[in-house]
Amino acid sequence: MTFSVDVAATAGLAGAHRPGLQALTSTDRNHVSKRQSTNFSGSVNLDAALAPLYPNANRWDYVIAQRRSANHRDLLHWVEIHPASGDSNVHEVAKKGTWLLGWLKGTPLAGYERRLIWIASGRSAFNARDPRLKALSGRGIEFAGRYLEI
Amino acid sequence: MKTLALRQVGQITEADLSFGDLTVLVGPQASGKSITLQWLKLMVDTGQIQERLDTYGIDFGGDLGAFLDVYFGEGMHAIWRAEESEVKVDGKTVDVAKRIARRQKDKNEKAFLIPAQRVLAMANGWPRPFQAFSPGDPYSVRAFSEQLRVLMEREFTGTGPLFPKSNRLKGDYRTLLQQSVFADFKLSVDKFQSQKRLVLDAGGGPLPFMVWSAGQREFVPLLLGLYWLMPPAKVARRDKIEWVIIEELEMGLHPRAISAVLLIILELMTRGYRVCLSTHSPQVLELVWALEALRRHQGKADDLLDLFEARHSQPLRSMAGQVLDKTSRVYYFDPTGPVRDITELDPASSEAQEASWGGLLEFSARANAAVAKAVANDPTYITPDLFEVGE
Repeated sequence: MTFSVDVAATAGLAGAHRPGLQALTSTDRNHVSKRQSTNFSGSVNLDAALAPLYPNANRWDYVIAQRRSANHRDLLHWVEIHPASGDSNVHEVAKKGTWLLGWLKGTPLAGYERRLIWIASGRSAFNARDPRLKALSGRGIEFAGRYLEI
Repeated sequence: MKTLALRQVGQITEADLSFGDLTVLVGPQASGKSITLQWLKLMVDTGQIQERLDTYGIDFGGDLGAFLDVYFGEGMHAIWRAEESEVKVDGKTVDVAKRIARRQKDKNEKAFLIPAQRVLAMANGWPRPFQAFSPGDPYSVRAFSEQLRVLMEREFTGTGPLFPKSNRLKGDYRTLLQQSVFADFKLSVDKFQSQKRLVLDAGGGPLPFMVWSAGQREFVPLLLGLYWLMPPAKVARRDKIEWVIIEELEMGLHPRAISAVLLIILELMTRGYRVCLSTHSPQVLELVWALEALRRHQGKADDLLDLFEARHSQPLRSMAGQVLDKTSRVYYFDPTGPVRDITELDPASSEAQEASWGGLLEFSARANAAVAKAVANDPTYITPDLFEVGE
């Protein structure tokens, strides 16, 4: 199965698949760049697509699928663009991660290899040695700073 | 001096440094940090260096190449390339060959440089005199060692305690150093077959230099350098010294000891010294990062002292309050291009070298990413409950 097919088969995501990084808003696209060798199988704006089904949930922002060799399924970059100005943001992102992993269970997208990535929407109060970021890594979420290169 | 610029000097292609009250140089090995700091001293102290070389019978015959071999060390004349190399001080090009060849009038030492090789200053537990080194050894090591020898000769005559010592360093600093560096040991001067030497003693008899821990061997020359910079009399600074240059202050030290030394660095700043450091320690940049953030967000002296787990005593609060008004600069020595100003140290910067603090955070970031990816893909570990931790 391909990423776009699995997206279409996921409850709430039918019609949400976009080529390349086109699911990202123009502001958010400034935070993600592509290496020359990278190819995308598409992206989905989860936050927008799942709002009708889960209006009050701590919804994650996006998923971006990176194409790999013929023998490997795509690598999914689950991307949350969120402020990183203080302690409360760590808890907010952790909550969103909890929601994402809970939602992901049982969907066709759960079987893909994944990265959960928090991109700072502005200036960061954290550096990579910060124990709060280390704790978050221990819970499966990596902090990429303000820019992510895939 | 407010700015120093180097062009095509050694491995440096282009460096434009504007000094703060605290200036920190970071970058990989052999990227030009040490050479830059030595140029800073040379430009500030040309007359004093010439006089010292005269005193010890070192005659470079007015030749720049010979001088560079003496000053930077054997073979280092190659860092200067005629027609290419350039040094500017406060925006003006310095005719280096002329400056070195002519005797400069000002003989006062204004920059005190504590070199990375400071452990070489001690031979058998006593500072070596200038002439005990090889003529090919860098001037900075020889001069530092000589300075310590003079300190010991003039200010620590006879035998007795050297650390802790009541009239040297504030009590708060002594306590922190005792805890983080010396533990139960006391540093003192004793005599062995009439030869004076530094020893450590924890009550079981004197321990000579060669049996000290690596960290203690590294730290004691640094401590003596700090004694030199902070005289016991009620004067803030030593003689005419304005600049304190310390290479790799973290060498051999545990992070708690680095923290204690950094607090003393802040003290030096409040005494009016301009401090320049080179470092491979992210902890030093953590300090600059915190200082900048505390300034930006109207942080208080107590916030700064909490960083060091230091007492909120009146002297320390006064010191910390003054430090928050000081300026800092951080430069990354890029082996592949010009030196970059990364003072903002924004971990979310679009400039990779600023975001990674000149590479000092790279490994941490990669470790975080590797762990996060493994955890995110481990079906036996990931549960929604996991994220409730910390709520």
